[in-house]
Amino acid sequence: MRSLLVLVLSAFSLMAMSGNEVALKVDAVTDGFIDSKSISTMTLFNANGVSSQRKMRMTRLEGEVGDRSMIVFEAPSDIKSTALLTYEHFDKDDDQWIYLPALKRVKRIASKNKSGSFMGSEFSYEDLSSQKRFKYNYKEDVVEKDNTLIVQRVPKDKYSGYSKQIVYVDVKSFLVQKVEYYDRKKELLKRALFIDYKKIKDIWRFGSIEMENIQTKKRTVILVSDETLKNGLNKKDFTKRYLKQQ
Amino acid sequence: MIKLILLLFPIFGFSLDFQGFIGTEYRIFDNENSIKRDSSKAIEANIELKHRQSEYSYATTADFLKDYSEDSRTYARINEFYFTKHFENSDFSLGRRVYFMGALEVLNPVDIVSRQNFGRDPLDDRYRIGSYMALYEHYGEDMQITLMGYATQRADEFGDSLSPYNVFGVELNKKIESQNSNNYPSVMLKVQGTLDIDYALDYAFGVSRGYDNQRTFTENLKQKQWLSTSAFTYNTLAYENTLYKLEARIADVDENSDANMDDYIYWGAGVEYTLAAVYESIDVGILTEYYNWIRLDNKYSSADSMMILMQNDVFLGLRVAINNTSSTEFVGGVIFDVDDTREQNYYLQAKGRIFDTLMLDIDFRHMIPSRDRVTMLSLIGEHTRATINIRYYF
Repeated sequence: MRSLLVLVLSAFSLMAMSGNEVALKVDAVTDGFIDSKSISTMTLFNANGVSSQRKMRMTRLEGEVGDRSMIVFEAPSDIKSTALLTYEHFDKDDDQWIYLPALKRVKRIASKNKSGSFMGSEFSYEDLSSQKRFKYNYKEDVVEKDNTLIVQRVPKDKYSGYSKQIVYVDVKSFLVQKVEYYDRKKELLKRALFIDYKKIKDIWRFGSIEMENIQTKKRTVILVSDETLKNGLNKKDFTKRYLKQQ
Repeated sequence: MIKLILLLFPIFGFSLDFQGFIGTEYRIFDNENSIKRDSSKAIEANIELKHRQSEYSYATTADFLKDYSEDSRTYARINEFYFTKHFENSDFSLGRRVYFMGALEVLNPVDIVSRQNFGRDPLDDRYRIGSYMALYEHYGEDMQITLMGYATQRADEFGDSLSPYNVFGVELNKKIESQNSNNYPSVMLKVQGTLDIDYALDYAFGVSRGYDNQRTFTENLKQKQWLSTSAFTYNTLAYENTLYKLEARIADVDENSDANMDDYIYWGAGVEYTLAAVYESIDVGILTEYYNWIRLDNKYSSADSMMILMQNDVFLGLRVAINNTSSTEFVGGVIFDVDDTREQNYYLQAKGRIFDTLMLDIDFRHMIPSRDRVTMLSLIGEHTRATINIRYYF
């Protein structure tokens, strides 16, 4: 009887959850990693299934006003040691610099428009940035279907490439399973599947993302390996000094 | 042999990262001066070795080019070879290395440390010759202080008498005539950082004392260099999708230099606007830059006599990144002289990856010189060049 009561109360609690509250729960299970190091292999498939690979070393530092990240390319060989440094700002434009090793040059990138393709993939810079809840306005209504909470959110950034996103969240774990991205014409553009979650130092991290462009039939898979959290990185590891030394 | 040993010795002691390429280059020229070479073919290689530990690092870069049409263009060089000691908030480097300064795309008036490798390609400033230097860099929160002593006493090369870019008719004397000893060091102090106010600004200010970046040629085809004191700045302001750039250097040439050279200001300003995902994943960048060289005394040297290519010039360019699996990119533009020479320099480049490791790079250039004034371009004459470059990267 007591179990039944708990179940009913839980169900009632879920039904009463707003989009914002779901987002809060999602952040709670994925935030707190402090910093991360990983190797990512990105495989690009064109509409005919022909593939091409990119390999990157990625580091990220959680921040109060935005994360800092460094991506160093390992492959293809012609861009080896090219590195991208990003300071995210939730309240203004991001800062972004790229290091071009052939020219020994650190170059600033205009980062207002984040809808551009990342390295020819189906991911945009926006997709790879932090997905924290205060970057979006959430619709109050939450739909529950097949143990999944379906939440609609609209990016606050007026330069976003998306008019809205539909987020599918597992009802038990509050881990994001799928996101559907709608373009500015409000047509379905892309679909991302978040796969192979694992717990590292009590924080849930996905093992891979598959992004499919519904309109062009191209897709990209990012496979994350050797990920470690709470490595003791600090702001000094995310500066132009280290950008040049990769 | 000594260079080879220097290059190889770390292999026995350290674990090394290495990268580089081997490639081929084929060029076709159409020259107004019919005695000049109409094609060339070459093979090239570049290898970079790096070793890093927490407190120190080592890097060396070897460059090789064998031109089957022009012996004087062939070279093998350890272009970089330096050690760096890393402290908590600073780095100290010693050795030979390429050092870049600047913000603009086509030309960098403040980039005075590592000289362009004119022998490799006078029309492409990606190729640089490493300078011997002692470099100290101190890093603060949002600011960096750089102190450098360096030497750049190397003669420029412009190919043999049949090279379209050798306007002298004979090979240049490889000796350089310096105001003081060839070993006289140049020094540079620079402060740079990022101002993070409403808009982000990357700034750099500095002063330098030593051999000037510009040179003249004496009657016996010796190259002449002189001492100057200069102040410089280069800045990039990011505002929404646009980058605004300003670069300037003012040089006070030594009065007793015997160079017959005025003090001068060389500056440039540019705007770079990026349109992301204009069609599917295609990004387009629009670039505009302006360059101006001003002599301050009006006594000796005009821009023409100093062979300054961009003394009052505008650059209009377009960069189209297809963002496909081959990373196909097109870059094109025109540089035109806005004063009465009306010289024009057209450029179009297409490049993309084949099989993930081969990079195909095709570029086309067309130069229309002045017909009334003696300038560097008028000495070359009307000139068209197409280059096909294939590189295997590892």
